[in-house]
Amino acid sequence: MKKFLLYIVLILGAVAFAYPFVWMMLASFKPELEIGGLTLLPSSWTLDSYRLVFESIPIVRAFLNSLIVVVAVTGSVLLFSSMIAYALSKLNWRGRETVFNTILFTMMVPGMVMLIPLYTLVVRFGWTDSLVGLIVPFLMNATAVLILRQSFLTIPGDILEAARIDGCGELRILFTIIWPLSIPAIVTAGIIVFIGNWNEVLWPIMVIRKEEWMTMPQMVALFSVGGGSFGKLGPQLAAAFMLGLPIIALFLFFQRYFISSMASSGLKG
Amino acid sequence: MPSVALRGLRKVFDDGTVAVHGADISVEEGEFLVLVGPSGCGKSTTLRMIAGLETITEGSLYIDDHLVNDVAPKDRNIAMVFQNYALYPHMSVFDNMAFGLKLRKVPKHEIKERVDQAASILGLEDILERKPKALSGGQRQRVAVGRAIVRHPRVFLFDEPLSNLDAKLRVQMRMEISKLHRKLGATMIYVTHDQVEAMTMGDRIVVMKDGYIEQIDTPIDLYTQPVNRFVAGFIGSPAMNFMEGTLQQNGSLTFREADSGLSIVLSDERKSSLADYINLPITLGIRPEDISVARADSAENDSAVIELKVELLEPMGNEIILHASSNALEFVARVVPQELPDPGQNIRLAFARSKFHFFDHESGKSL
Repeated sequence: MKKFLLYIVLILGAVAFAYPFVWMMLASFKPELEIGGLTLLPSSWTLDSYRLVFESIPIVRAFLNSLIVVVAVTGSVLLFSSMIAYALSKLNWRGRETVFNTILFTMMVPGMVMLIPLYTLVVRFGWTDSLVGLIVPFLMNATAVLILRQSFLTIPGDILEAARIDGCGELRILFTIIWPLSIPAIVTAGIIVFIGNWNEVLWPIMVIRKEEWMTMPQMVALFSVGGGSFGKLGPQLAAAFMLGLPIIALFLFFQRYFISSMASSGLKG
Repeated sequence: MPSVALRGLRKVFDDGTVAVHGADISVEEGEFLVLVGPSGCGKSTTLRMIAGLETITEGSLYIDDHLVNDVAPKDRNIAMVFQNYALYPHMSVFDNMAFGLKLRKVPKHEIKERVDQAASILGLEDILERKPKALSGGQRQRVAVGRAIVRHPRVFLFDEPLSNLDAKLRVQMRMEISKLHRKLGATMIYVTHDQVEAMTMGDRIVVMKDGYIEQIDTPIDLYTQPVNRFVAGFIGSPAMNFMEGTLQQNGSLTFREADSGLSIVLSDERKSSLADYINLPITLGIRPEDISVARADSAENDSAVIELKVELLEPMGNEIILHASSNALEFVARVVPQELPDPGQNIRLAFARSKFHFFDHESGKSL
């Protein structure tokens, strides 16, 4: 009985979270007039909304821009953050704790505070209206450092010493020993960075003016609120749905690691 | 030419603790040297300095006459077996053993040859494809040893490799490592806190305490001629019995125990070596097997007979460990199986005079 109630609550929760998304997905296939109605399923399936999106904005270009930015950022974050995390967790050097605390401190500074100085920098470097301006400021990430450091700490030092005697340098230890043993943490950090970066709207809006360099969320936002959609709800929903697809695909693909990492984050070993 | 030479090797940690105070050890080619001592005595730190896993604060370390203080572990031509096996969890047994060879760019067919050879020595042929997770403790330890063998190193280092195994397996692995040493003829340095391992495996044993080397000797000499009270007490199980007292010369040379006033007449042979200690405090030591049950009728000229109360009997089958006491004095004796009085009753024990050890009360030095 207790279990039954628990499942009821869980189902209600799942519906509450999934409903808007499911509704958005189905509504994007409805004829424009039906969207305001109460039915969930369209009376007739149509791709009109999508056609309008593709006709009015270069969404494929925006998708590619986004993909380049997010892959570059995620790759770089994982590479550099794991190096930092390795140095912070497995190497002994003077000032290690101070550096770690400084990194933690940067997490406490609200992003908004950093926005203007960062923007000024990017302008001075002449990186506006280029993907470089979207990538470089996010090459490293304190959250990823924290996640990876905590995971690396659970790897016994003996293994690394054995590797050192076997002939590994520090970088090889990181990539041939530590990485394979930290896949859940790396996937988790990767997904968090990927999603955060994929959904970023404010920064691209500040840095990018030319349509050819716009990222997908930026373009979809401008399309929805900037009048590109002629006030039609269907195309807005279609664009938003396409924006969400990569995240869903990513999560479904890596969900096994993601969950195992979250579940074991409190357990040692 | 010693295979490994430590010259005044000293280790001071960042927090100021001195782990090793100037160790001087020469390990001969093909020797099995055991470092033994209680926890915190610096034996593991010494080994880790040899391996290159700890920096050397002071002193010199030579491997094959090359100064290697600043040489990276991988270039010292050593292999190490860790207490926790330290196998790579994501690699199969084969890959674990082959990893070091791959990094050294050994040709593939040679890697396979060497791994197969090590696997057959250690009986690992059937589990080469398994991951460490799927192995028992003994198998994991064998893989760890195999990983060291395939490298054909000049020196093998073992850091308490058997302490995570159960008693039976420990005895078995102990023999296997000894056999391996004979087979390979390689220099091996072995750290343990288990004096039985040290005594049974080592060609020579280094006894350490608080970062100092107390004695370096063969197992037998260590046992029969300990240089000080610590070594005498540490080597041997059950441990040597000690009594504090003074030496007196009234007719014959007599040891008088401090608290109980118990007197033991010593043999005259000791006169010369103990002459300087008359009327001074001194420690008398006797090993459990040098105490026997006194025969009632015969006069025991070469033994001092003392009447004690039986506290506890531990029959081991081949022998009985007898705990006896008198006032504050406690003794452990190892006697042959026989009818013995029950605990609480008195027993006359004979202490073999020729087997007494004497130690300076202050310094603990053997006299």
